Amino acid sequence: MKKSNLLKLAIGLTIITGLSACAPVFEDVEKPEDSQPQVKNEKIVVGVILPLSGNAASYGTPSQYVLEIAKAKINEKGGIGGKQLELAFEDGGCETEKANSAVNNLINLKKVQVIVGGFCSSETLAGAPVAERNKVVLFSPGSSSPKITEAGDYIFRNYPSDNAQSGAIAEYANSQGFKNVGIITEEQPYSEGVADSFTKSFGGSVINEKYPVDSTDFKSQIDKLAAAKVDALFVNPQTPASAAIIVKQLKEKGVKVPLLFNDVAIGAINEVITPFSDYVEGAVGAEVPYNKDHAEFNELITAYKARTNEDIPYLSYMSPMYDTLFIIKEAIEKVGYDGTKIKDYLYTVQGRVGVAGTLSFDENGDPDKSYRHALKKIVDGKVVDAK
Amino acid sequence: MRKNDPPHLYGEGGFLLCYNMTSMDFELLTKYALNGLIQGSIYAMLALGLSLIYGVLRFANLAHGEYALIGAYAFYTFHVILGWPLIPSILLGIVVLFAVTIALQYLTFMPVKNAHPFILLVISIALGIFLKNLLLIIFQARSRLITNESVIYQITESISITQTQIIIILVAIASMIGLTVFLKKTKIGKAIRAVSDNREVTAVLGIPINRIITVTFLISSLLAGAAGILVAYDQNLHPNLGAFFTIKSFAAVILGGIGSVPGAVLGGYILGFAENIFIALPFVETNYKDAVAFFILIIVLYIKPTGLFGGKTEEIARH
Repeated sequence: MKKSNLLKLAIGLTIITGLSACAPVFEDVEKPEDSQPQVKNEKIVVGVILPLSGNAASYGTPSQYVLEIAKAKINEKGGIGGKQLELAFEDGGCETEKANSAVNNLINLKKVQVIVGGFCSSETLAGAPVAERNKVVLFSPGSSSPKITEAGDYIFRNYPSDNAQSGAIAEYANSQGFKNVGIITEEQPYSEGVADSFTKSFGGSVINEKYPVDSTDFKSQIDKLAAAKVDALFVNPQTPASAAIIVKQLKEKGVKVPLLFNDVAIGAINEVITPFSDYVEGAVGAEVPYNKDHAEFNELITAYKARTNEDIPYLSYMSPMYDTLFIIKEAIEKVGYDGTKIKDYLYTVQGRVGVAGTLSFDENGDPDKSYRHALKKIVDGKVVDAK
Repeated sequence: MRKNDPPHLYGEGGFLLCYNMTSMDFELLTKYALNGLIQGSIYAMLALGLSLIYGVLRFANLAHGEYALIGAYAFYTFHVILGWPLIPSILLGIVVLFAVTIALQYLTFMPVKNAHPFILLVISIALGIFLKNLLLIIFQARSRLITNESVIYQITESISITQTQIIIILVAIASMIGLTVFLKKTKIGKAIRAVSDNREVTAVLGIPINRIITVTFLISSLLAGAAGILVAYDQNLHPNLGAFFTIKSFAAVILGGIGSVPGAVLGGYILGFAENIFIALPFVETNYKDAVAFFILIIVLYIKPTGLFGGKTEEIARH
């Protein structure tokens, strides 16, 4: 091949590659009128969006196991009204674009009427408008951004808004007499929501240093906050991986102020609490409590261990995750597999006792005030209830 | 998003009127400078390798960051996954990196070494995508943090540095001096410079071009791998970091002047310092770290389009 031809070929290939990268990730195609809900072959297909790649996969993958355990249990006991339940998993990657195309795939290709997820607030917020327009229920067991409250009629969650989390932490900060709190926040809807609502509830002043996703160097942010003589430092990442680097660099910088953790950081037992147990001793955060007395709680823990050979992580995320599928099962059994009917049914759910606690939906599809974050503290390398 | 910024920093309209240097803590400035020195050392090491390849093959190897990651992941595999001691793991990491470098060089760059540098550039883009995805398949898309207990040295009461960070600075300085001496004093180094200067004439003189290209690639990947391993040990490791390494080192090379060794080093340090010192200003948010660094790059290129140590524009255009 002549040199000039080779050059042309290379340019051509580059252009083709470039164009193929522009696949319409934001497409939001209304589903055709004649599309039928997926109940073929005596199966009910429910969509699921979880972060199965990227750093957030550290809670996305366990969530997948938990949903499969719940699915197996439902199918073992005769499925949903005699039909077998099937889950269609899509990777939301904790990213807006990915989640948006995942929701479109589930609605247009898999024809689902209910989607479990997303997990990250970025995923749920990206999927909400599409689900809403297509009259498909989007039910998140983990997203906590306050913005989700207003995201639409078809958008539900059985995980409380971050206003609750930040409220609990801010109340603690106020009770300790902190005047000046520094926050290190990842630029993600979840962590930004936590920071915003903390700033609103906290009585003193707040310095919020943000960092882009995938940052690995926090030294200057830490120095800046330490120099501002903050009374406490609020570690507010989206993923356990960033929480670990921040804590590592805080320790290396010898920062000795009380630490406040968001629920990702305080839930990161393997990544943060155990490896840095000396340094994080006494740190305070808030987690959603789970219902240890529920008959199925131990079943879930045993089933998870049997399946993965590991202890179940993030119980405060995994408990609502487990409940979600049973709530959806009950809904389909009551009203059939139809997005709008399921939506109407969910608003009537009151006082449902599950592994995660007692759930009643309010008028926004959020759990009501009885279902809230509780303050936790790290004592002797373990996360315990704060008195 | 500060509720209570000190009022003296701002004028009546809420805009910054002047910045009082005395209010900037000297100690804090020292800390930022230290952070800049550490980050700059990493960028300088990466930029050196990139600049060297440009000199010989006249193209920017856009897979440079992925070479750094291969070294780092090989090290991680030996040290953390297999639990081998530190030094053998580093050495084996470099051996793996060398093997991969030679294999890739013969498979991808060598067959087209005489083609237009544009072809090499496109190949390097493809290679970068391939290597990144290979790492994603093998090591999954998640961060690997080496939770080592690096010794912490307290310089003053509030300024501290870890042993790994001192090593980063020392390795960077050693690389610069070593590379300069190598290029100026050794036979192979002189040959590399000769090839950079004029490949055709050098070939006529009987210098084995292929061997020189291989050696250049090995030195470049050694520098990249060293930077990658140090970042893995000090910060963390993720298959997506390659693009970050490439962009930062590319910026450093452009800043310093394409093809210039001292330029690459200076570019790396300017970038490292800029990222860390400008955010000290109270009106610059820390999430603008990268933006500040690239803003400086734009300003420098506006004033001196060939970079700080770059040759004349015609000279670069000629190649």
